[in-house]
Amino acid sequence: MSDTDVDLLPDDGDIAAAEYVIGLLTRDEALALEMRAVTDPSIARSIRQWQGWLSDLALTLKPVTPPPHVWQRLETAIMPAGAPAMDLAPYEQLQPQPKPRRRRPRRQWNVGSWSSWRSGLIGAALAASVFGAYLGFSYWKGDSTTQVAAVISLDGKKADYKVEVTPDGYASVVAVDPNLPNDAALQFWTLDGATPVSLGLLPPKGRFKLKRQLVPGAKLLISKEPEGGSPAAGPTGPIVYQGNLIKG
Amino acid sequence: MDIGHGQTHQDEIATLLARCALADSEAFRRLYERVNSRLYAVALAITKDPALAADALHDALLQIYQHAGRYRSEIGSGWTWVVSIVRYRALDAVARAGREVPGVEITEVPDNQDDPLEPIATASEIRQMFRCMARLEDHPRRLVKMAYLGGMTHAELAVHVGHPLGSTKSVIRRALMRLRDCMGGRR
Repeated sequence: MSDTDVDLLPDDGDIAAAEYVIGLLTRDEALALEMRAVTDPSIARSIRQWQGWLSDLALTLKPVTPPPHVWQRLETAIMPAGAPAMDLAPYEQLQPQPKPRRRRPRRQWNVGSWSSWRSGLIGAALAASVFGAYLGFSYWKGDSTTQVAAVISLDGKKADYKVEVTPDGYASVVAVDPNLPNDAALQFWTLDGATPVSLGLLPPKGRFKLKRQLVPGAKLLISKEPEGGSPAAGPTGPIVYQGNLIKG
Repeated sequence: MDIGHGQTHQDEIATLLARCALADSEAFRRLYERVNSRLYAVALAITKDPALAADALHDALLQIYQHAGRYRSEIGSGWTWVVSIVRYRALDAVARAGREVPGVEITEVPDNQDDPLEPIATASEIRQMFRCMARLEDHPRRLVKMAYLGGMTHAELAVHVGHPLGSTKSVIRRALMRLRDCMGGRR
């Protein structure tokens, strides 16, 4: 039933791209294609092309007039006086659960519970061995749910994390299969101008949703920190990964 | 009036999105008029539930208005952008509602190439998509639509239609190759 044999991806990368856009691929297959796209820009081009073509599939449906309350609610929502907060409720449930390990200066740690990620642990051996891959397709489109914006490999051999961005610009970090030794943490940062802003500690497993939206071109950094995260407002350990969220 | 489609209209969607990025509520109203029934059809096809579809449409359009500045025309058409958000929202709504197998009975929503009230295509590429889909046999065409609108993997699709995984993959891949050839795709 579970078809996770990545070798089953078609040799024709263009068709694999189509299957990726449609959402037919399993997680492992999708990851394999994303890694292929790192070294083969034609895969990224194929993905864009299929995204355009397949969006036209929606035009094969007979139009159906929505109930009037849809517009009424929208109209109310976008009125300046009644404009709602930008927070989108469905994502709140994806926030990480653990309690903060320590208080942090609010000015720098303005991502709330995000800074309370339970530590992923890493040994010193990882620090010098970093490989970052940025996929050349857009951050707002993709398979049925999200678009991979970056694949992070700590040892240069396998993917440890994916950064996925949903169509509304919110990002998740997905632990693929990280092998993180003890006594240290990896902390994820972005830059607000020249100021580092923590996005939290990389998780040992699971998927974690960032409250903060990432815009195309956003600078991403990962630093090695003591267990529990940086004791300062910015990175204190070596930067083990850096790059930009891909610009479409 | 609904979206008329074609490059002119897609450019219009992009233009309206640019105005929405400046918090132009009139542009948003116009955008809504252009796309609402097309997008609701997508949400309905995915959710099979009018209430879920309406909520998904509302949430998606609010996102579109609030994040219109994120759209960039060099990446794709305005239509591709808005429909991708609605599709995502609808699939997300289905997932949150705990529905396991979306996409059932999609063929009950008929193709509208014969709908005289909806002159679909003025743009050659969209006309071409209709022609190319029409050239597929019923079964592969249905599989492609179910996959795209149902968010199903190969394996889920195979279970759903009761065919072996291998043959389901083969059918879809052949269909995609035919679509690509027909669309004048690359390579």
